[in-house]
Amino acid sequence: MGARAVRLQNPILIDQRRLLKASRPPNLGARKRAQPLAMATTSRSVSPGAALLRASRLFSMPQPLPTPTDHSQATKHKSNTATAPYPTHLSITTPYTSRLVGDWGFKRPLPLKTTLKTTIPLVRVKKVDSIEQVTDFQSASDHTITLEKFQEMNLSMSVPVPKNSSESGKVPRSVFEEDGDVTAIPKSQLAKTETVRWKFRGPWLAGMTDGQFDEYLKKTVRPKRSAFRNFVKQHYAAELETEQRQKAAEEQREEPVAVRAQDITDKALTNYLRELRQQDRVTLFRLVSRFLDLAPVSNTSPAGFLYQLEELKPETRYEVKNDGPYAEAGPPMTHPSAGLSYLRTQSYMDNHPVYGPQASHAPVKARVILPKNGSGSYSPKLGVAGIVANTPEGESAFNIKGHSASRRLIPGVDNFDPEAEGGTKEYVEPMTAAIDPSGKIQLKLQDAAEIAVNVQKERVGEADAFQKAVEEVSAPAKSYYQTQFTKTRTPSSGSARIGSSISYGLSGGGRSL
Amino acid sequence: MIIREFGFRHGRKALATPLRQTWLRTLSTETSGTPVAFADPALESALQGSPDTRTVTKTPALFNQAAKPTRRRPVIPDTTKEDWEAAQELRRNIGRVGSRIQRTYSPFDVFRNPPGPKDVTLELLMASQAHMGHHTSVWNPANARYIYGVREGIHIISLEETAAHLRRAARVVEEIAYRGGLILFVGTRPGQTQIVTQAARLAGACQLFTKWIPGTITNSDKILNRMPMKVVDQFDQELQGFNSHLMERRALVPDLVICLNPMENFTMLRECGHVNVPTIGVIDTNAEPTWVTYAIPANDDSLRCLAVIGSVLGRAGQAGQRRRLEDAKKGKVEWTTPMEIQQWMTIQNRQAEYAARAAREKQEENASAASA
Repeated sequence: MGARAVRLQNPILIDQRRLLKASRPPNLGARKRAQPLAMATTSRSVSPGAALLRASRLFSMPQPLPTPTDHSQATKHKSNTATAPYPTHLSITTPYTSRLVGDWGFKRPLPLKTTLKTTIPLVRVKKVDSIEQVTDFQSASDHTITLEKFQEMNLSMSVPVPKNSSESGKVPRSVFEEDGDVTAIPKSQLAKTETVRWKFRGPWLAGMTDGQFDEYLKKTVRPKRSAFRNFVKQHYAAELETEQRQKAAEEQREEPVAVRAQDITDKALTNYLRELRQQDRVTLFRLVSRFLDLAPVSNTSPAGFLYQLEELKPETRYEVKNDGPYAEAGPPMTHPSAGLSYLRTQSYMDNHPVYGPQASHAPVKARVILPKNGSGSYSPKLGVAGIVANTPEGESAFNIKGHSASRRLIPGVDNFDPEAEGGTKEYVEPMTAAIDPSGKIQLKLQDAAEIAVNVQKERVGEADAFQKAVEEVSAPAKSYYQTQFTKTRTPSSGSARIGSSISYGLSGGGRSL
Repeated sequence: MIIREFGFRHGRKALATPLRQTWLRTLSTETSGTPVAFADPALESALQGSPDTRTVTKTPALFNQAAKPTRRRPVIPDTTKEDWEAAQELRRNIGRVGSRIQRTYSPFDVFRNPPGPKDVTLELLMASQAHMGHHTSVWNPANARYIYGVREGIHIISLEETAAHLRRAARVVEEIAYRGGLILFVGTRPGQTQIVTQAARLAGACQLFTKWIPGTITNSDKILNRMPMKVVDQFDQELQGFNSHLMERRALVPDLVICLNPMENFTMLRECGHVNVPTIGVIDTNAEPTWVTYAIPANDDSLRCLAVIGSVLGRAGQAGQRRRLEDAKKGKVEWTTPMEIQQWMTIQNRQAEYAARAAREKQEENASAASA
């Protein structure tokens, strides 16, 4: 081996020690063409390699969702680094030892420069290999941590409540209520459940563009013409039978023979259709939408019941239904919980080790991300757990209408507050969360109770409510207002760490990555 | 507080420097009211038990020359031994409680315990990402027979094909090592150094992890000029007396080249082809399989996959070398001396004969002359 160490400046370190030995390799090349192909070609589905591959993690990666499209973005200023409204790709992580060598289980090691020095090792892989022969990936910590923070709020997902609806003041309904959360519906129940269920076979016509609608007519609707005639025939037969039976009952005759659908001639059917088209468009639309299982449109829309009151057929009974949760803005693209939370309700009680059961849940710190008056006049926006939300509705600490001595105005909501370090932050209590049809989380907030805020502040190390209360007992009495709001707003150095979930105002809990 | 003798006692130097905190402490006759935390409760009670006597008996250090220097920090008793014993006790009691975490995989296992040809399983190959080919648009159709399908936009290489070809290549390496061939491992991409050196060390082979200098084989007279060489016997012991041959002979050519990244080493493979050196290469779906003699269809981008392939081939070479040396001890040698050395040895023998004859004749002449 002595010869190997010589001439190190030469990159080729050839071991030249065994000069006297075989000059040619053994004749093994003769079998080169013999390929063991038989197993792979004859029965691929049962080959052990195929079975392994099918159970592999690469093969179980879900197909990416379609990217969120918002046509209005074309005319708006849009940030390239803005987080998408919902995640489209799987988030992937890897153990630290594998991350040290860049092994994330994909075709090639991911570059250490971007994947090693990171607090949250999560990536989404957009392409395992691209035409440029690189793995296209980016950090997935945005959505994953948002989900984590959202789940720390312990919210249940609720059915969206339309604006100006009679139900807007009521307790929100969970998306997991049994009457609404059904996808395997027998055909007979389709019409009955159309105002509560969220899944429809047909599209939501009010949300389609012209081109999409034309395409839908051409591709899906036209081939079903004869089936639709049969469907209408059955409806017509049932209608005729009801009519005849009613007539017989009035004239006290015996019950007529049942009208069968096959007895109706094509000509009669065409006449009936013509009649529907000219005089009873409400029934026609209802028939069409039931035949195609269209998502319901609002009663006040041009196809809706209330819009066509003048065109209703006289002496006809119409079945009027409520709009349902998805008529105004369209049905959701996924299950209305979107997998964010599987809780059915938030009607549980928090317990505190010292203060006992709490009337309200732990409040969450919100950040004012858009004040009311900036370069224009806006409705102020809050950022809660990584989600943009509107300020609490009605009269609240964010929106004081009259002059009230007992309430304080939160600085930074009306105008940008340059004094507040890191922006204005305020505790709020999240009420409901719902998913809108474009996939965004709609979070509703309300003012947090003052006691709950004090308890939470003590919990995260921002205040010492217990000590203060003890002092108060011995000290001369002060008004509650004075004790709470005359103190400085600088947070004391408690157990809260900067950047931790606790300092976000969320309850603690280790990340299980 | 008496400071009039201060300058007398401490001199100019002390007065010039600003007073330090420790000195101020000695000048003070008052005890500070700051409560001090004590680690030892006994000490604490002893000190706090009689606060009056403590303040009375204590005299300023300036008045009392024999006074011991006061400690600023309370003495913390050394409990290392007790802590260690308590920890051992705890470990004895609850050390076996709880679940046992079993380490199933570490990325460095392939270097600590390199797998051999017997350890090649489909599971191992799949876990080491051997099945991931390239983007479907950059494929080489000659690799169609190795491809199982398309997934996630890439071609998936059939694991059975990879395993079969890897086993065949391992057999080639083992036989060449058994017949004393010179093997060269080549992996020139960043990160392949450890893989290549490990495989070469196992197989007793040569290694290349930097650029292949074009012409190293076809122009070796210039490039490998004066590279040291030696001649060994069947037990790998160096033989002396071949210096004149080594001075004049041409550079060595490997008997087998194993290339982990054929895409970057086309020149080397081409040179090997010119001089009929067999090659083994890891062929990804974008590579040309005819560049190498024995293709191993696998992912050539994953270091994990290449580490498995390299260690399997290295282990195969190791097995071949071991077998060769064992057979040599039994007197079985499966290789013949190369032609150049045979010729050189023939010439040497003949020259020796001539020299001997000339010497003999000269001796005879001398003898005859002497007798005459």
